[in-house]
Amino acid sequence: MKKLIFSLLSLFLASPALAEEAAASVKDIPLLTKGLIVTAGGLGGVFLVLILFFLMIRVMGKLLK
Amino acid sequence: MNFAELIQELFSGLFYMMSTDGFKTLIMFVIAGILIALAIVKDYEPTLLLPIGFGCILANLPPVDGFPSVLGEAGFLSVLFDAGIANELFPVLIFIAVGAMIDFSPLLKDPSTIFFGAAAQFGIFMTFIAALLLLPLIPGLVAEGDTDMVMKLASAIGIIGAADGPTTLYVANHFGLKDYMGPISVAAYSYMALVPVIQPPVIKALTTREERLIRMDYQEERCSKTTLILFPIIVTVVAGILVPMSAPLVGSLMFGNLIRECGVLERLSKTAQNELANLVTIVLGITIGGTMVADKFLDPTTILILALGLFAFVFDTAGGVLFAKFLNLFRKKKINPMVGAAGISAFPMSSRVIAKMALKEDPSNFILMQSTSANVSGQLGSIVAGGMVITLVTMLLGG
Repeated sequence: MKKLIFSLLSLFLASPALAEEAAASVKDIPLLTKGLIVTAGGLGGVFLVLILFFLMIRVMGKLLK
Repeated sequence: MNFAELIQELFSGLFYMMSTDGFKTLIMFVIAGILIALAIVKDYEPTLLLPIGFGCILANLPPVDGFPSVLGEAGFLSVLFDAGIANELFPVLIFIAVGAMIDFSPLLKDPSTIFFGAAAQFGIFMTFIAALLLLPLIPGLVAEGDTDMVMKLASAIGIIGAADGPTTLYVANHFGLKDYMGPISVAAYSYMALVPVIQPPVIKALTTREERLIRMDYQEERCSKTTLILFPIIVTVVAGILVPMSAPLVGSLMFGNLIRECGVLERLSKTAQNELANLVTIVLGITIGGTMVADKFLDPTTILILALGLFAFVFDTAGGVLFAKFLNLFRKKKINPMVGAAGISAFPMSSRVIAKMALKEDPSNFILMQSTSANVSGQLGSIVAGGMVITLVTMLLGG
């Protein structure tokens, strides 16, 4: 998890040196762990985006009534 | 050239058919025949299965200079592939057409069903994990230790569960899986056509009759035009900011929808819904069929892809139903859990199947609008899921 946070941060910072190091460390994560990260992040992300759409529709409905 | 060589040259196709490769070709012709029969006899997604089947025949005809003439460098299926699939153009055009066909008003009137569009993506991720575990077991599929390829292929297989052909193609193409495009797209489109066969038994296994009889209120009031116009614009901006990888698909879907709802582009809206949809479907189908070359298709991986695709559809349906049952634990006004199953993207087939199931249980129970609402949410959910998978997998591959 530490590796992932590190890689995310460096990717966000877009520092080439850090990003390269992070990319190398991300490669070391076991396959199944990567799978679980994609599952948790993916499902969480889909729910998050759709929750935002839900709120957006609610707000739009109230404002435009 | 002597006489024997001349004869061999003239009848090279016949000689080819009598070789081992010719036997493989015959198997591909049988597979193409099944797809065409499903389209014509069973009426299962004929607009896609028929062109795919025919493209498969063309791609497996005896070769000329090493390739079937439709697949060589200047072969028309290769040209179409490079022009529309390798650069993601066809999925995007299809989404403009789909957007122009979708009416989001049931969702805008009752947005609570939007969560089923997320819950019914459960199968994508379960299948992704299953594929990660199973793919390394296939001998020779990937070089030992090449986890990148396993991740890419598992992503594309998982996305079959999006029940959304263009998104599946988009993800597979993004990861450069040209060799697997055939089985992946055949699985995606065939299972979409089989939604009326796959979903009912799963729903029945997970619900009681009392649950299937639950009635749901529906407000007849119309959605304001401003809401219908603002919705596609805001969704594009929000999705584009949060999941940039989904922008081409969300953007094209919402562009098509804006054309439909704006009220001043009726001609373009009709063109997108009819001519554009039909033209792209024809070329998309036959081009996908063109990727079903025997050497690549007749492989244990194809069987695994087809099996996992089915697994994904089953788990998507289960995810939606179980999420609806979970919500019912906290709600006063209960949701018919069958509506949750419509959260898969197969639009509008899934919502129709669920509405029909409700009517079969109780001829006066109409839940078509609620299931349509969940179904269009599924369309959004599957695109976002596709974008999330691309983003996360690319990141974990160190890209």
